[in-house]
Amino acid sequence: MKAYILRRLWQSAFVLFAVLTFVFFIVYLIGDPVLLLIPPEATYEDQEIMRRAMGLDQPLMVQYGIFLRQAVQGDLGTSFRHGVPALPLTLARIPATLQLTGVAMLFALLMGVPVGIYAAVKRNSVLDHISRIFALFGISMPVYWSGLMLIMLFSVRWGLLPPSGRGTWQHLILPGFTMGLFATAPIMRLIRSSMLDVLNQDYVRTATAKGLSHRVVILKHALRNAAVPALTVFGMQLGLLLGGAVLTETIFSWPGMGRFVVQAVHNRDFPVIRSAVVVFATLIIIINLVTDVCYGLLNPRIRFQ
Amino acid sequence: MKGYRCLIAVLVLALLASAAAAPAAAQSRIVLAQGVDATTMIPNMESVTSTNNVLEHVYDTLVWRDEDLVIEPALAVSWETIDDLTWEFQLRDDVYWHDGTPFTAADVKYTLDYILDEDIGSQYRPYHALIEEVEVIDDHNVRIITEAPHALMLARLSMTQIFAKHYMEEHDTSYLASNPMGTGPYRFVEWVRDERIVLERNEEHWRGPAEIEEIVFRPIPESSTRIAELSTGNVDVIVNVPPHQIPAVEDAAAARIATVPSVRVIFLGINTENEGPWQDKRVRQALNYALDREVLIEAILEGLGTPLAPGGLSTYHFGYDDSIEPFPFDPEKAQALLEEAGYPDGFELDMMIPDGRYAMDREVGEAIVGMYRNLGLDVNYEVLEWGVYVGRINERDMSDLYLLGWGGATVDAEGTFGPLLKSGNPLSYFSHDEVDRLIEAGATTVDPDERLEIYSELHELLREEAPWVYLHQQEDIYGLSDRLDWEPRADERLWMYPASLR
Amino acid sequence: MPKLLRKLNFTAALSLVFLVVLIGAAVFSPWVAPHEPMHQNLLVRLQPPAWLDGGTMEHPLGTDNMGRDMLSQLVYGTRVSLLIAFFAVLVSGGIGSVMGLFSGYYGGALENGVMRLVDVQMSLPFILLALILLSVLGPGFVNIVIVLVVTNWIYYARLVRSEVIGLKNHEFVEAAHAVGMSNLRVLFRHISPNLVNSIIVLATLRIASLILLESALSFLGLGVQDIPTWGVMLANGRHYLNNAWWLATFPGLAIFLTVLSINLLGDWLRDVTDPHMQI
Repeated sequence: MKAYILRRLWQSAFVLFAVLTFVFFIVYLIGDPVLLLIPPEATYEDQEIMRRAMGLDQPLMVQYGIFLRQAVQGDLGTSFRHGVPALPLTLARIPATLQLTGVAMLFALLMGVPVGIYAAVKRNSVLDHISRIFALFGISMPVYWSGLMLIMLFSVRWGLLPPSGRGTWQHLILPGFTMGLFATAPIMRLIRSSMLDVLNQDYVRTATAKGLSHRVVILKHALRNAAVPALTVFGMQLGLLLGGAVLTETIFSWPGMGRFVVQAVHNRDFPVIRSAVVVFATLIIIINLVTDVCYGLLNPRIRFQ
Repeated sequence: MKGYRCLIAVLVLALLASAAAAPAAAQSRIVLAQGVDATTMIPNMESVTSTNNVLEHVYDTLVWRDEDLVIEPALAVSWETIDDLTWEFQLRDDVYWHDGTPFTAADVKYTLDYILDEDIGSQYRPYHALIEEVEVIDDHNVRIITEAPHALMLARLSMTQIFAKHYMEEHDTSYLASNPMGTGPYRFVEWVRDERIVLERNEEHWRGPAEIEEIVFRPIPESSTRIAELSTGNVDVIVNVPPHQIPAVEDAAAARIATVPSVRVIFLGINTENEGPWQDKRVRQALNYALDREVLIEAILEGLGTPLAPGGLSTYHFGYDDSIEPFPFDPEKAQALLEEAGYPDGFELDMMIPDGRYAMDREVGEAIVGMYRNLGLDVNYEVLEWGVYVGRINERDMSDLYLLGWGGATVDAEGTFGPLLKSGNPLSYFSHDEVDRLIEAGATTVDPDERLEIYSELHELLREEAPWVYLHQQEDIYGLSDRLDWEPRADERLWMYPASLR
Repeated sequence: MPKLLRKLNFTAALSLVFLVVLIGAAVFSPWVAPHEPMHQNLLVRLQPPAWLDGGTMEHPLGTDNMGRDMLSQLVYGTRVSLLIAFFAVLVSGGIGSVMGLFSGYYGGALENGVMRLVDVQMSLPFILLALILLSVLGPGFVNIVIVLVVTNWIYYARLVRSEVIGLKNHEFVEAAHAVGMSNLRVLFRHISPNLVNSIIVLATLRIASLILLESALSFLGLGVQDIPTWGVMLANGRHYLNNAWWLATFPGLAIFLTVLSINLLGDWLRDVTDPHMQI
């Protein structure tokens, strides 16, 4: 077990290094940041002066060297736009994104799990279809559309919830729900199929034959079995939600990392883009590692290769 | 099973733990929603509107513009040009920084030296590049010496915020980027990035205290969301309302629309460096005659905008010549000119359109494509994100026609003609000796009457040469809450000092 | 195939019919659509659908803000939206499956390499990768397909790899080896056919999300131009929800119904081909 974790950590370090290098170089392909940092009236000379001031006139490998040297010290450069260190700027965004993702996950579980159970138990009935269509709503609509519709209904028309921003728990509801819709269907599907698997197993039939109440049978045996693959899906969804928060954050003006990064790309703010990618990669690696370890713990058969 | 309960419990706890109480309401407080957050609290580093709208409340400039955009005194009570290259400014003696220290000429010198320092990388450096030296005569008098006659001196100074020598020297850049301190009508309270910037009234400001006690800036990227916030009364000012969303604002109970003709103009640049029929001025004129500006403005901009006359200046610009009329819509004349130039069957051309940079830029561009296609021209177009667009401009990889807008930060003819029409400048795709001569003359003359004559001549020439397809002068559309007593300015600045609540 | 069709349930059948109609509209666009989709007519802009005041049968579903016919745009839009999704799934599925196949079967360094590559790519948020790639490549139909392929092959790789690992220890593989079959032959003759079902199910489900991804890219301004796509229509129409709801509603409905149908069909496929379900 310990050996496995160590091996994964070592592999993760390698992955992180690869990501770091990849993102260092690829940002140059996006475009020239200097152009967005000088007024439109500037001359070519002015450009050169700005380029020098930002250290972008050095040869690429020299810049890479400086970047790596600073990176091991925890410094991923100073934001071109904001003039402050990029990494702390990005890290400051994480709580907001995690909060949103957490709430979204909560909604997804609250909606997906019961529907999944119900659909499995009453398989192929009319209600099964209806509830599944309902769960599929979330992944069948572009998030910015559902988001805007929700704002129009709940904020403008009915005045129940604030349209945007962050502050009170009411601010969390609309964006959390919008994002949660997205993760509902995969969770629903997973619960449903896992439960269907289990419901057909012999020991369940035996338990039912023994006379235990239906509900007890389901809840105790089936869910426990579904927990294992649920964990994997959960981890993957978390990653997807983190990455996909951009649209929701833009619509609801949520101060998260996704929106911040998209702006950085527009601004060609290389240090911020790099920190964001590194931070995001680290989060994903952690999530994957934790899920894999839990998976292994819960299911000794599929152990650590 | 336990796993699930645990999971849900954790998530609920996280949810509750993060819930914060809403801020207590101040006595009088307004909220302004912009599309993006400010980027830095150090002034004069970037010419970004969203940042400057915040900073100009915290800092003062030497001179300011009133609602008619005429230069008026601010930190400088008076000034004179000793000769073509020397300016002297007399400064107010009753101004204090927010920390109580008196404001002196040393601060002015420090500010300008800072901007001119090449290692610092200020975006304003090119604006003041003509300044050779700043001398402190005494605590309240400063002399600025330029390398060449600088017609735009006052215009540039009206955008330059003065910061404190002692404060800047005492703190490092990171601190300064998040904590501004100036002499302005509002003090800085807090900045939660991407959420809000809070300013509170400076009771000791030399203009007298403002009416509104607290100003909050909120960055809200999505236009529909901004309107929703205005409709629900959470926000008092929103900028850049798209014309077709005007009904949404007008329908809201406690909000209204306010429009003001802008200093910004929109045009199609013609790339005369690319081989093609447009190198012939008759073709360029034809391109101008072929557009129905009225229909364009009516249909896409809901009638908010005015056709742009050749020259390409807004009505506010110094040097604007109102005797020149915009090109009328005259498709027969366009056709005749094309035939005369040898293109009776039209020709092929490429067009570049930015997306999201100017109000309805994409729609205007696409409508123009439609109009030119109706004329028989074979138009290929691409819509590009602004960063990509700027890249193409810089690489001098422009298509034959490109849609561009030009703000009037200087509100002066030189601010438009110099960068955009003088040969050799990165943004100029036009080269004409006489035009160059006139532009040069206008830039290096300091006497206003002489300059007006020069620009009049230039206008005539530009009408003839038609280096651009002149489109329209923008009208800025603001959404305001009914309780706010304030009218928008033509120069896109959100200057809240004169605002009050009904 | 016929045996499969007999097992259709109600929703799956409905979905299938809907999709067939869509594909028909895509193939026969020029005949189905009443107008040129991109033809502007500023004088009739924002005309409501025929059954409302001010609408005409000339433009049954109304016109958009540039006077272009909504119905024609929707019809031609099926082509682009379906084509993009189809090609992206085909290519990413192909590449991903092959990668997964080889890495699962041969294991070792190859598997490690591929899986670490997958990890690296999964560590990059999709939107960021898409933004960066499109900034480099520029907008356009082919480039969007490229972006979708690059970001989606990993799902197939992971799925196929884990299935292959499960399969390669089965008796029939050992038997094949015992008879002297080469590895490649075993891979292609014996293992692959067993994977086809899972891949198809995954692909069906991925098509749906690809249509949505294309729409998201349009929202961010990175969509295709000069050809109508539902994503672009929706992104454009969201500003007109107050006074011209039809600009956003019809493409939104189109996306919704298409994605829903594909999802229902995919779910049904999975039910029907899952060996556990054969009661």
